[in-house]
This record gives sequence, structure tokens and C-alpha cells, in this order.
Amino acid sequence: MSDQDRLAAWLEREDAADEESAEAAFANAYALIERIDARPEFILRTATLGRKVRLRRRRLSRLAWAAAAVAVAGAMTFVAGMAVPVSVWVVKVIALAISNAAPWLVAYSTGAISLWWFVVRVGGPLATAVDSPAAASALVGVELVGILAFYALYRIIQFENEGEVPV
Amino acid sequence: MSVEPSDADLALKVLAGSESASRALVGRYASPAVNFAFRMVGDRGLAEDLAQEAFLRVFQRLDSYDPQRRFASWFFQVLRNVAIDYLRAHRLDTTSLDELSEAGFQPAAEYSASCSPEGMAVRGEVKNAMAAALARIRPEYREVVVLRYQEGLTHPEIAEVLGVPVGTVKTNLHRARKALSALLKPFAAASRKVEESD
Repeated sequence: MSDQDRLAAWLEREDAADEESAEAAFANAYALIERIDARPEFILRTATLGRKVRLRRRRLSRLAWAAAAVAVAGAMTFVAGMAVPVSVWVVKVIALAISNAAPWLVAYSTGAISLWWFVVRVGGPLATAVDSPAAASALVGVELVGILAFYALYRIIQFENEGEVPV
Repeated sequence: MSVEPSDADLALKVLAGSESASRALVGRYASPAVNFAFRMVGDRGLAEDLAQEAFLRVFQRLDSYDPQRRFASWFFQVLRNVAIDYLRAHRLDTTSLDELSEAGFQPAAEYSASCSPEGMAVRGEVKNAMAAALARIRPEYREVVVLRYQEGLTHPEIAEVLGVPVGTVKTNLHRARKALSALLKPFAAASRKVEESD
């Protein structure tokens, strides 16, 4: 099939509006267009340049990492330098607070100990007095009488409110 | 029997600093790159410069290459951007080729005014007529034709390279064929006349 025939075949199919066969015929006609082969020196030159670009990039990347490490180290040193005076100030404030709080702490502790001592002193004999069956029974009896008295008082108040005092 | 290393393997070796891998990768894509650039700008020397620029950009950004992605798609995307940047900077838009010719712009010899359809028909230069017609259609049509029929990329791959939907690629391919057939019909008619007169 001559070049002219290939072209004519495609143009015919294109006019027939048959998409698939027109595409195939076009591919066949397009293959006529001459392809350019890259020259070996172009390949060599480009590969060499490309490699240089990569090496430069790698070197730059390493430099950037080194610069970043130096920057981080510098920043850390700066922060540490700032942190020393700050930490001294914090220690001073804490020491002052502790020294001011110590008398109060001692005073309150003393008060608490005194109260505890009083409770022990009073509670001890009371517990000893109650610590027998007879004393305990008497105490429970007194409690019961008291509770009953309170209940009676409550009922009387309730009836008074309703206006019906029992005879 | 030795198995050809894949593009991704070569790219990884280039990243590791291999000189032979650099040469192999460039060698594999040099001709397609020069062809594509040549079809876009119509000048071999310029096409080589653009192809080289694309290779250098690719080598520079090789760290960001995803081996899961087809290398060809990525490479042609870079190359296409380089070519488009050049065309924009130099306002070489073929839609206004006639205006440029009027203004004194001389396209490459292959596409010069002397290559009229009739003249080429007399010489029976179908391939030159095809190339000249390709140079005259809109760049967005030309690039899809070159990527599809010259570089053999699939529709989805072309869509990835151009950053457009697959439907747009198919539409542009169809329109490109229509535009080329409109440009080549006078040549085909003149060819027939020459044949009949012989």
C-alpha cells in the first residue's frame, strides 16, 4: 500500500464517520511521519548534566540538613541560656513561698495536735465508761426513751395542726 | 536472557547515584522527548534544548517521583509544561500562524510556505504533508495526537499528562483528526490529479 493510498484510506473512513476504523486508518497514516532519533551526544550530554544536577541537589540537601542541625543546636543553646535565669527565679519564688508558709503550717499543725489530744483525753474515759454490758444497756434504754419522747411530741404537733387534739 | 530494568528501577538507581542508570533512563526517553518537543515547536535544535530542560527538571525532582506511577506519564507532563512555557513565552501559537507569517515569522523549513499541498503532491511527499498539517493544528490537538499516535500513551495516561478528563482527550483527538483531514484533503486531491496526469 503506497503512502497516498494510506492517506486516502484514512480520509475516506473519516468522511464515512466510522470512528473506530477512522482511528485505525489514521494511526496507519500517522506512522508515515518521520521520527527523529536523539543523537548519542545529546543522550550523553543530558545524562551527564542530569547526574550533575542530582549531585548538586544531594549536596544542597546535605547542606540544608547540616544547616538545620546547626540551627536547632543554636536554638537549643539559646533556650537553655534563657532557661537558667528563669529556673533560678522559679527556685527563689518557691523558697520564699515555703519559708512564708512554714510558720502557718507549724501553727495549724500545733492546733490540730491540741484538738486531737483533747478528743483523746475526753473520749478515752467516756469509752471506758460505756465499755460494759450494763452501761451499754442503760445507754440504749435512755436513747430509746428519748426517741419515743420525740415521736410523741411530733404526733401532738401534727394533731394540733389538724385541729383535733386527742383526749 | 537479561530482563530490561523498569523505569521505576532506573529512577531508584539514579537516585542512588548510578551513572549508567542515568544514561539508560535518558537513552530510553531521549527520542520520544525530542520528537514530542519537535512536534510542538517545529525546530530540532530547540526541541533538543526543551527535552534537555525537561530531563534536568525530572532529575532535579526525582526524589518526589512515585514509583507506583508510570514514569512516562510523569516525564511527558514535565516535558509538556516546558514546551507550553516556551510557547507562551514566545507566543508561538499555531492558531495564529498565518498572522505570524504575515508578521515575518519563519517556521522551520519542514513547515515553510513553500511546502504547499500542491507542491508536496507533485513530489509525492505524503509524510511531509502529514507533518506540515500536524504543525498547523492547534497545540492542544497536536499534543494529544503526538502522545497517542507517536508515543503510544493510553487515553487515561494522556489525561494524566495534560491534567484533563479522559473525555476531553477523546474529544480533542476526534477534533484533531477532523482538522487534519480538512487540511490534507486538498493535498490528497492534488495528488490524485498528479497521478491521473501521469
